[in-house]
This record gives sequence, C-alpha cells and structure tokens, in this order.
Amino acid sequence: MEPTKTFDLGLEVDTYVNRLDNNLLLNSEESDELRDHFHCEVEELAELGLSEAEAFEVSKMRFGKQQLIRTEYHKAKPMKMIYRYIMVGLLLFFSIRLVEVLIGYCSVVMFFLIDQLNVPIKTANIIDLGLKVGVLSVLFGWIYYGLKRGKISKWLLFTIPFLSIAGEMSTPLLFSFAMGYDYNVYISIVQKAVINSKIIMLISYLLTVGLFFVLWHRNGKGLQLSN
Amino acid sequence: MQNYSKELIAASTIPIVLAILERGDNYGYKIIKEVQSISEGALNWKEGSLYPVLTKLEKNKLISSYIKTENGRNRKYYTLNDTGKSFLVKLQSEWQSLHEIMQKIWSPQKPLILD
Repeated sequence: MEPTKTFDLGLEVDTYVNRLDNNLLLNSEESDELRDHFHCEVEELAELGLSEAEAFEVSKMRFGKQQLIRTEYHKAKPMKMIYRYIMVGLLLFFSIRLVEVLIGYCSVVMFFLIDQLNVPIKTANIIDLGLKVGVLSVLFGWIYYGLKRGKISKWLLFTIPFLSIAGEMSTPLLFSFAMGYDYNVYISIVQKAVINSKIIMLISYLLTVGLFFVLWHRNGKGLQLSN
Repeated sequence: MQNYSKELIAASTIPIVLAILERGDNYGYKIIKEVQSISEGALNWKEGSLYPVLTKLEKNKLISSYIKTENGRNRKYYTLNDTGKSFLVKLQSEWQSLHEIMQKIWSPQKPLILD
C-alpha cells in the first residue's frame, strides 16, 4: 500500500509565494501579507467543507495569474527591481572575489606548513588542494542554504565586500610572512599551488555563475533579499 | 450578474480601496471580501491584483501600514492618512462629475433645432 502524502499548507503557501517572488520584488512584509491572504482564504473555504488542498487550489485560482501579479508589482515599484538587480550583482561579484582571496589564503597556509612546520611538499600540496576544495564546499553550502531558505540577508552585502577587500589587502603581507625562501627553490611548489588554484578558481567561477543563474531563473523557488 | 470591463475595474480600484479604508483600518483579504460583499459579488477582482495596488498607494503616501500579529501570523493593516483622504475627496468629485456627464449624454434628448 502506498503511503498517503499529507498536504502541508504552510509549505505549499511558501512555495507559491516564493515562486511569485522569483524576481526579488517583495520584501518580507509583503511576502507575509500574501501568505496571510492564502491562509485566510483557505480557512474560510475549509469552513465551507473543502479540504485544505482543495481550498488552496481554489484560492490560487481566485488569486490570479502569477505573471499578471508580478507585472503589477513591477509597475508599483520599478526602482526596487533595479536596486535588487544591482544588489545581487554586487553580491555575486564580491562572492567571487572572496573565493579568490580565500584560495590565496590556502596557498599561504601551504607555504607556512612547508616553511615553518617542515611538512613534506607533497603532503602540503594535498592539504592545499583539500583546503581549496573546502572553501568551495562552504561557498556552495551557503548558496544551497540560501536557495533552500529562499532568502539571503542584506548584511551579507556589507560583510562579503568588506571581507573580500580586507582579504585582498592582507594577502601579500601573509605571503611575505609565510615565505621566507628564495622563490626559485620553491618554484615547483608554487607551480603546483598555482595549478590547484587555477583548477579550483575555474570550477568556482563556473559553479557560482551557474548556481546564481539557476537561482535567478528557477521557477520553483526564488531568491529573496530579506531586510 | 454584471461583468465589468478590465479597464473599468482597473480605473475604479484605487477609489474603491481608499473608500474602504475610510471606513476604518483594514487588511488585504478583508478589503477584498468587503468589496465583494458591498458589490454583491458584481466586482470580482482577481484577488492578487489588490496587493500591488496597496503597495503603490503606500509608496505614494496615500495610506500607511502597520503589522499586527493575529492567529500566529503577521497581518499587515492599512490606514488611510490625511493625504489619502484629500485624494479620495478629489476622486469622488471626479467620478461624480463624470457620472453626471454620462447621465446627461445618455438621457433622451430633444433633437437639435437649427434656425
């Protein structure tokens, strides 16, 4: 016997409202307002004897076509759209810069391991690659979390640019601290680190751009910037 | 039941919403239901289209809003402010005047006598 699928009204309403908001139009108050609308309508229809699933279907029909509602919101706040596109663009740009900085830090760690802790070069290279993969995983974990929640906090718009700029400024200092050696002696180490970085950076760029593209266009759940 | 054109419904939405809010603070879903009740179902909006209108009115500072938690949910209430009240008076006067003109145009006229 097949297990019966229970209808989760809260989840269905969230999905519907997030889908409506896939152009980052609504603030959290407006999203809550639409959620409240559906809950009120479903409660009223349920009193008439409809199941929650049936009532939700009726309320969606009464609500109107999503594209039409989106167009009306666009008209109501044209500047908001431009503002949100700029914000997400900046977030994407600085996220990629931050990944570059963090990958640079991984290389610093590798040099530090070889120089200060006498770790064998091969082991340090493996650690370097592992750290870079870790950075990449954390980044995509964060994007996936944002995707699942459907929201990315505005504070990230300040934190990520700050970290990426501060990181870039501090990287040369850290390199000079970690590398007390003649570059020619360690040319092979540097080459391997650079190869690691290039591979990771290429994957980062492709995945980041790809994921943001998916976030931007997917119909199921949108990306929303919360207040 | 009377079916109104999309254009007429769109044009009348703002004066209707402001007039409903003149009766007292209200929230989206309740505004829709009140309009349906007053018009006895004749004004059947696509419900979702009300919310961008409320956003626009608030942006234009004709109405203001506040959040109240009811049944564990955040509910956005709207209030008609002074600017909104003045704007409503202006709209009422315009609609009234237009209505009178239409009445005159549509009423049976004696043929024009040209000398």
